[in-house]
Amino acid sequence: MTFLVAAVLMCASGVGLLRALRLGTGRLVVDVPLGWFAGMAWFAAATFSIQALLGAPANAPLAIAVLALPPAAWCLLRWRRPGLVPSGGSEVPVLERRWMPRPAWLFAPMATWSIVVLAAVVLHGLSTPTHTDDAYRVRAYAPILVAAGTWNGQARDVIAMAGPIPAFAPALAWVLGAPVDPFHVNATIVLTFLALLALLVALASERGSPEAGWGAAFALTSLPLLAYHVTSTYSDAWLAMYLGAAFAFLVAFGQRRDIADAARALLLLLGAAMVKREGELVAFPAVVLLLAQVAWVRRAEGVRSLARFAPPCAAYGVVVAARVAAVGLPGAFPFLRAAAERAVSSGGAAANATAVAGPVGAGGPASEPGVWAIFVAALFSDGNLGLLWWVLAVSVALLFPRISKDGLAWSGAALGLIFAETAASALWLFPQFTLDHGTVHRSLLPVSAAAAVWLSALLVTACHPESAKAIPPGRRGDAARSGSKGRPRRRGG
Amino acid sequence: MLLAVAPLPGASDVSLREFAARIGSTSPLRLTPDGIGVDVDGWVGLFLPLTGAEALQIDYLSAGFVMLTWSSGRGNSTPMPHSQPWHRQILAPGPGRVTLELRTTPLWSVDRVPFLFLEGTGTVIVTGLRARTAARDPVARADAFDEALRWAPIRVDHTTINLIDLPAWMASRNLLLQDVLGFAFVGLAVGGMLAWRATKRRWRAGPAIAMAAIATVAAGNVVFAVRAAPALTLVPSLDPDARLRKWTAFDPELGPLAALARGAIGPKERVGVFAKASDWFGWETLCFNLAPRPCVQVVTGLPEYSGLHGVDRLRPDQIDALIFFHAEAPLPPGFVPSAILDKNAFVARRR
Repeated sequence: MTFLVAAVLMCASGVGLLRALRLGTGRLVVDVPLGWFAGMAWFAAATFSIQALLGAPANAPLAIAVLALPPAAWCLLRWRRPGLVPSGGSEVPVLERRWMPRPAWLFAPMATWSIVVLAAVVLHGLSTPTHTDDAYRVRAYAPILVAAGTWNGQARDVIAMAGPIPAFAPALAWVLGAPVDPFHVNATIVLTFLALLALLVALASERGSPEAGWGAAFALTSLPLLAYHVTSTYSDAWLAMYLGAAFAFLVAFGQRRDIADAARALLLLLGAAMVKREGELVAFPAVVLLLAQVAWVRRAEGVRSLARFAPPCAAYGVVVAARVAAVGLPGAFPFLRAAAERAVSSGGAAANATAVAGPVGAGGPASEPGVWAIFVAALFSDGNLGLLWWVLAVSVALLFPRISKDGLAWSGAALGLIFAETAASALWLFPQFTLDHGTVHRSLLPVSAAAAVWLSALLVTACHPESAKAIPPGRRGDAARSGSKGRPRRRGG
Repeated sequence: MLLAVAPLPGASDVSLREFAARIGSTSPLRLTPDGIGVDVDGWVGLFLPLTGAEALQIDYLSAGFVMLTWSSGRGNSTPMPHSQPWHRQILAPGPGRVTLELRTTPLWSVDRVPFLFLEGTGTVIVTGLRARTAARDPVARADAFDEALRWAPIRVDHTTINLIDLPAWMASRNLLLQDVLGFAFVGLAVGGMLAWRATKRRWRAGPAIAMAAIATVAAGNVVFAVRAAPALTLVPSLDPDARLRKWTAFDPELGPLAALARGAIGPKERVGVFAKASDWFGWETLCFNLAPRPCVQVVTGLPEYSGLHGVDRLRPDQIDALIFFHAEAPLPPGFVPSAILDKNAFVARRR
């Protein structure tokens, strides 16, 4: 029960944050799942920063104050500026709201599959003890340390390794007084999966393209390893889900050019950055491309176009500072350190690594597959990611001209950069974990979730070009014109 | 579940009385009026002289906490019992029946014999045994082997979090399901595009790719659903201790012992876990489920013990309660059992 209360508080805080930042869509069906993501990010960022920078452990009064701040700020803003445009009052026109995807005969089985997987994830995820698979999880142990107020050197390492969101978000109910039940970690991840699917479907439906939402949900639930991960407590699922949600708004921004979508995407990317140690690296290229896209789209406004994005980026700087305070500078950026060490290593070290990895692109000694072969098999053959990368590769090859035309170029570039990062990690930085199949498959989960959302948008716009661009009222778009080409012109009423 | 207890089609009965003397075992077996009995205290390995068996059905009578792992072996070398995919089942106390598919176990071939591995603490009496031998015809045998692998249930184990075992389409030819579906997708997409071009007189790739993707992904999903269904647990429990008590997926005693310890050890008490030195899973699981109680792994001879990630550190004299779990050494002096699951799994306190 306390968990459910905590979840409601988290969600309400997130919705309050969205409203206070004027990032709400004005539709609760979208704002509630988005609020869950935003609430977790806000709560984790604030409590982690306060604990690391001010030394105040997460306790009930602090948690309640942190959660209450966004709704209070929103109320204050409404009181001080009653004429404020209600959040969600987007000036960008959208297609008519539509909840039933077309054709129904095609989407009904896809929706059924998505719902069946979701039900299985909820039931199985809430039936399996947290410790299965590998005894304990850093990400499941970190929230317990948070709730217990343990903050010694080793505990700080564990919490920093987990990242603020996996460490602090599941601990809320315990901080509020519930007895520690590791199951809250499972339940938080299951709820996040539910929120992700709800967000994708609701957002697309509200904007007149339910096919994109259900397509994304189908693509995500067709990733077997992701389905398994969301029933567990590994943080790759957190990262994948934040990234998937962020890509829904990156795609939307590319297609509609509503600056609020860019801000929502940034919020979610900053959330992704607060998951695990590599979350920051995964989110970084997408953030850079998002800001570049904003600057390009709003180039007439000059630097002012980016002003709106400065506060959240600065707030994230506080989280980084908190991490440095918690574990020191070298411990705060372990991947950068590993990359630097790998880059500068030469002679014996590089030769050793090559020996471990085997010759690039070929089988190593004793005809064992090499690191490239394993990576390619992980994408296409091993089945952990279903057929996603087959479909993505063919779609990009055959629909390449549409990518730019349908406003998917920037988000596609972000996807490409994240994929390149993942590949570099698997092939160059940590080839040993690829050779032993240790992390190569799950390291592909975040980029696969993002790819599933992006691919769905690409295929839907390729099938329904009119869904790509919002058509301003009173104007007929290219799609409508080409659709009526050759037909007799209608006159009169 | 029903399939597991239904008679095994094509199997023939094995006479236990004649068979008992030919079983290779790491522990003494005894012939009882009910069947072949074995006491399990840690682990027992059994080689069944049934060369070429592809499936077994065993009727048993079990007491205590015992998990059965099955695979196949050759000669006198003991196979790694927990190799992926790890085939295992808890033998519930009382009479029961298990059906063991051997073809989906690692390295199975027609010239190997079944290998059974019993872990835990208890007694098992095999009261009936039926075996089905692989077809003599190599083609029929390969077809049956492919069929078994294609629909083989996913076996969740310690490494499933890293990768789910490869779905095979024709295992005898190393043909993977995803490759088959992937090429089918490409063929359907290109064929659809060409068909669109032929009928509508223009190129349009989107619908062809989308339809091909949905069809092939759905086919892959059906296979995944069939394979994953046996591994699902769909009855949530809100009580953490009840959840632990019924969790015996990787070890028959660990879940019930964790639940017992949570009830027997106070929230402020400091805990040591005394387990086998090679057992990383046991002490970590127990300490995790007892958190936030300070909990460490007891390693004989060390002046200070360390817990998960080194967060907790305790000296021997600081430990209030000790959890004994299949440790090789006797209980340290000064501790006596206070809550007992069985002789190898219990909670002890200072005298």
